[in-house]
Amino acid sequence: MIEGLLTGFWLALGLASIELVGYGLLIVCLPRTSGFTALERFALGFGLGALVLTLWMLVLTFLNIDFSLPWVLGPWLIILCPWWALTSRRRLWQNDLCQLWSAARKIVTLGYGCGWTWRERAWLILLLLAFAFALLRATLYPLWAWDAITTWGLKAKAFYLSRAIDLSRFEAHNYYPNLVPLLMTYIYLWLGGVVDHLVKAIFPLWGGCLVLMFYSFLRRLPVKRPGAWLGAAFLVLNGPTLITHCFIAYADLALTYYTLVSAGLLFLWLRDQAPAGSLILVGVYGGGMLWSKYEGGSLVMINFLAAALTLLWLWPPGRGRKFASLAGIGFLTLLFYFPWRYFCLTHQMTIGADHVGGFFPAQFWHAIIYLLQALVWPPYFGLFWPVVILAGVWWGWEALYSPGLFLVLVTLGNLAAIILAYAVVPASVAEFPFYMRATVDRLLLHFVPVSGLLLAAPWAARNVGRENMVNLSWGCSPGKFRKDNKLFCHSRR
Amino acid sequence: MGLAPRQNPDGRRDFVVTIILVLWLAQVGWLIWWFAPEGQDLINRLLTGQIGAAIRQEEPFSQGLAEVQEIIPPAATYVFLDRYEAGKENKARYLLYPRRHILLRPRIRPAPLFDRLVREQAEYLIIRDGLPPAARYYLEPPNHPAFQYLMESKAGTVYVVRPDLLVGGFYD
Repeated sequence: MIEGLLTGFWLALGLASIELVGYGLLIVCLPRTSGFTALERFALGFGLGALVLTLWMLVLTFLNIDFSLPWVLGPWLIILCPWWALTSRRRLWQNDLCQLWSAARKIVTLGYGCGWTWRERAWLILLLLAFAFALLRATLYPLWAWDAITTWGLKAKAFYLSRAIDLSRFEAHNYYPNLVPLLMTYIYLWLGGVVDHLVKAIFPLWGGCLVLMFYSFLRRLPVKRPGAWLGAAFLVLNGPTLITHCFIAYADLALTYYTLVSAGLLFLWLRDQAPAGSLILVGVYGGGMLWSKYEGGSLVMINFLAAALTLLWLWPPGRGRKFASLAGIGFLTLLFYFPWRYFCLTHQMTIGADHVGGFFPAQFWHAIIYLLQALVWPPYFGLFWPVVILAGVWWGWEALYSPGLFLVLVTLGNLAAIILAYAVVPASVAEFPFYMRATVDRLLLHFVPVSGLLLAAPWAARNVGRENMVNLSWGCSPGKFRKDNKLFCHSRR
Repeated sequence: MGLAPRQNPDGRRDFVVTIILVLWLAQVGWLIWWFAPEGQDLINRLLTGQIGAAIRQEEPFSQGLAEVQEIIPPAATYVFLDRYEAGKENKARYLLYPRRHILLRPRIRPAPLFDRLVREQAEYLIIRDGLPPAARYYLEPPNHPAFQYLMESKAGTVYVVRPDLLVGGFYD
């Protein structure tokens, strides 16, 4: 009993340390008046902590230093502690603590006494039930899902036992980036062994941060609080895919999280609504995309390409500066790719040979049909895609003349990328349908939350219509935009 | 003219939103049904305290691997004969790590099997799925001194291999 409690304590401490490092870096690196809320800093902190700790573990492998808590965590505490003690920063994190405490209390008490409607409570209850289930399902059962034991869990066990990135004793897509296995290794260091059921607590927590970021983006777009809660519930409780990824140890949830943050902030930046320091975070979380999964590369490219095309099409004032910023951030993202690439080169690892063969036209057509079916097949994403498509159609013409074009391009670009990926994968005729069936939900999941932001368009317009507000960038007509020569008009809250 | 009801775009939009909400709530009900068996199992396990590693030990294949784990030393290499698609081989590789794991097809002919055993210096052979008779012949004592039957576990049949004795003399 006491041993179990102690293990739970170490697990909680391990998870808290990831958050602490990421949150601490945000506090130190972002401008004090950045405009991020406490909830956003909390949700961003976990992803940033996971990214820097695991990249640091890669550096430790380069330096031939064995993984241990003092070496992995120690330097970050030494760097961050003096900063936290500074008066200005201390006030910031103390404020954040108060706000987080208040938010947590509202969530736990379902907003009683805070003017929440019964609908808000209902959406929140659904979300809490989903995450309670995911947390228990994750932490009570050992690793069992296919890729969890074939790739990610195996690597985590190997890294923990050898206290380094040692890929010499197995072949499990060794060139894949290692954010998730290294993060699991980090938790094993806290737990003092390969406790492969407790380590999965990472995933519901990560899913929670993803939902918080989605909620925050909706609030910034601007969707009112009840609508934002409904949007978050709609994202999570549509088909079993997202919930399942909150309790299996796959890297897809991490990639989905980084994609949402990077693309969401980029979208806010295109709307001139991004909090200060957002663009740097776009680059850093883009790095997280590259470091969490092999597919991250194409997702990053699509994000930046969609942003560049949106700027080209809308031709906003100050475009030169915007293009330069975008290029700079693209370069920053690329920097995150090099350490692992260098590791692969020095260890003679071939990259991507099992995913890229030639172009197979039969597979290409088959993939188009299968993908269209997958979009409307309820056991993947329930009603999510039909509703997103409906929202896109509803909002279609206006989207072409607002930064919302970025979301449309990201969605279409990713759908095209999936089809192309299937067209070039080296698979036999018999194997190909099974391959698609096993992967299509995951590939769609990566950009589900980003596409989900498309739902905010008609939603926000609906709120605006009711309040007789005009000239929102979501709602104003192309003619109005042209007449005012104000392509990037700001939303009025 | 003038008597026809006026179109109310806001009302039409509200109607569509209501329809979507109703369909979505029905879908949430279906989702609860989807996860119900897992939820029921989860509650049972919470009540009985049968959680974590104990769940894995309920499965016969994992029990077999636990037995094998005690026999094969961590630094050893073993050849595992199975089909990847069966989903057993990856469990063996995960649970028996850091032992080096070489997967070969069960229908492998004797010559490539022996060649691989020698090249990898494998000290153990685990057969989860049947070998063709030609290869099986060599495993039956006293047909080849390099193979020594060790045990029949729930993970498969385990042999000790002496690769230094596999010096040729076998034909397909």
